[in-house]
Amino acid sequence: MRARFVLLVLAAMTVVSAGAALHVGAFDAPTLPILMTWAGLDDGQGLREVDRIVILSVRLPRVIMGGMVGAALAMSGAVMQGLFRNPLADPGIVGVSAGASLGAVSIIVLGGTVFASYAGWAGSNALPFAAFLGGLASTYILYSIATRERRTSVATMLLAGIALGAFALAMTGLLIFVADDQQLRQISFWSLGSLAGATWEKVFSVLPIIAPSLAASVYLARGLNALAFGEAAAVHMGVSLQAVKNTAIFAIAAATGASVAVSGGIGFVGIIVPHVLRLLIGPDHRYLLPASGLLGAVFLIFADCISRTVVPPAELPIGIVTAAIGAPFFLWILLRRRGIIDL
Amino acid sequence: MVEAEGLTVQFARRVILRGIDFAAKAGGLTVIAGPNGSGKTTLLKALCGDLPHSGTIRLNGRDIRGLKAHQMADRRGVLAQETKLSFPFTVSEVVRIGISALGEPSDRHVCRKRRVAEALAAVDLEGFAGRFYQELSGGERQRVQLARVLCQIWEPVDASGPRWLFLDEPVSSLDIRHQIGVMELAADYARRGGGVIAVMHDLNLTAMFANHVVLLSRGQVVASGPPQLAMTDAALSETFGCQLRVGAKPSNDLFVLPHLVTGAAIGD
Repeated sequence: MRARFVLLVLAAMTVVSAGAALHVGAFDAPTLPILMTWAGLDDGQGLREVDRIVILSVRLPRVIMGGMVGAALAMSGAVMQGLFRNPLADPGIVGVSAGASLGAVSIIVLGGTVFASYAGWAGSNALPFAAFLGGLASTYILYSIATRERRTSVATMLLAGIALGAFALAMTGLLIFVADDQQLRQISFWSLGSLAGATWEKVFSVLPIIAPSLAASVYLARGLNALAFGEAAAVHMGVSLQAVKNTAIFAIAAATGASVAVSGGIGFVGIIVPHVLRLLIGPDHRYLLPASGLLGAVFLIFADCISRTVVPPAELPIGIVTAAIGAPFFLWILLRRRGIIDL
Repeated sequence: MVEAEGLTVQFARRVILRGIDFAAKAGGLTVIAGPNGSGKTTLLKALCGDLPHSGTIRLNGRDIRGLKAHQMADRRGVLAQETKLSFPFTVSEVVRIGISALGEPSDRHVCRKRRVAEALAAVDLEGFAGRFYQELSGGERQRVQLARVLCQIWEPVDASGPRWLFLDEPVSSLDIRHQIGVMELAADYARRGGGVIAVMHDLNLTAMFANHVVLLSRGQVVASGPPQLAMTDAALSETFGCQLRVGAKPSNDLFVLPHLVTGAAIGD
């Protein structure tokens, strides 16, 4: 009962925060009339074209992108924690994000030389696509290492993921070492994360990747619940383990890769959102997964509002905002509820 | 019927079970007993379908190699020696996961709530529904898990045949009252037409409740049959490698006592 109520509240919060985010910004525009005109409920008389562009072509895709990325990051975190039976697991930890970052940095540094033909072919999508490929590749390598005789060992995967992440980080460091000043600025801005580049084009390029992986995650709920009792017990309860693992891993890779691709490295959403929700509604994945998606969306839309408004007209990278809010909040929870994490 | 023919299990090059023939009938409680390292748990795990094996294992007449996880789960529930939970579930959530393990049942919400309450009552844990699993004692956790397993295979028999309760040392962490309670629950499940296979250390509880006993030593069957036939001084002493005496209570139930010869009980 309580879980359903929280889901309802979160859904309402998503709508409200999206509306507020459309309205807030360095530029004042009559948000409601523009939206009503857009939806065909108003004839749009007396509205300026520049207002229309700010709301519909700049802020709206950005809010939608923020919601999608937030939902993807939070749900990937929740799925990975369920899969690894560890509340501290996160795509950032097993090297998926590091692989995606390596893909992106490769294009920034080597796009004009080694990968020139690729960069020319992919055009403006070169960086997002490379990040996505990096995330998928690192997940695939990780999965191959951890899978023996068609069984995936979670412990091996966690350890191998840490090693793989360190390797990707080292390669990224090597690229940063050879980068020139212009490239360094680009790398540091991208790696802190930002939704500033959001366009309708980007929204529609990641939607087909993120939406199915979110849908798949919800379908995983029953399997992840059983998995909390250990792999053997999950099989005894009738879960086809390999199918759950395959689906989970692919969904995590796709959602994380796509998110990193369009928004850079936004940290802390995948750990903090599911954790807060477990305290609020318990660990039942049937509610936890959709609730994580909603709260992740609200959190990122909210963080993006702050990043846009705190030092106008400049923008703070959103990764700074999520970590600056997220880390102290997370520590506060840990101090209040000591002992809730059982490794 | 749960049967094994020529069952051999090995890890790396070490043979744990060699050529075991095993049969347990529905409607009875079958106990697997034997010393530490004799292969009891390995045998139970193999019967559960957890281990690669040679030989044949059949569950209700079907080779388990041809059964999918959800088909097995519909026919048998498994209580492990210990179950660790990685997230803070409440007791009622744990038990309810047993019900929804095979998808949502046809009888909806109200029945589900009642089923959880019935299962908790069966293991003497009324009033524990809202408690956190991780805050319970070892014995209470074990009973919560038993309630979850019961929910998975609630009806001992249905149109597709008997269901099976596989228990790995179900009473080892319980006090004596709850040991008897759990054994009575298992015996009742068998009386109502289901099958129970339990790995046990307590030979007296085994003698009281088992319909069939299988004594294992070094991966082989030493004796097999009803307690009156299988649990003899000679068979038990050979199985456990120490001197044991079997007596009969006025009720005709057996009891087992160690027979100490000048302190040289182990290794002679």
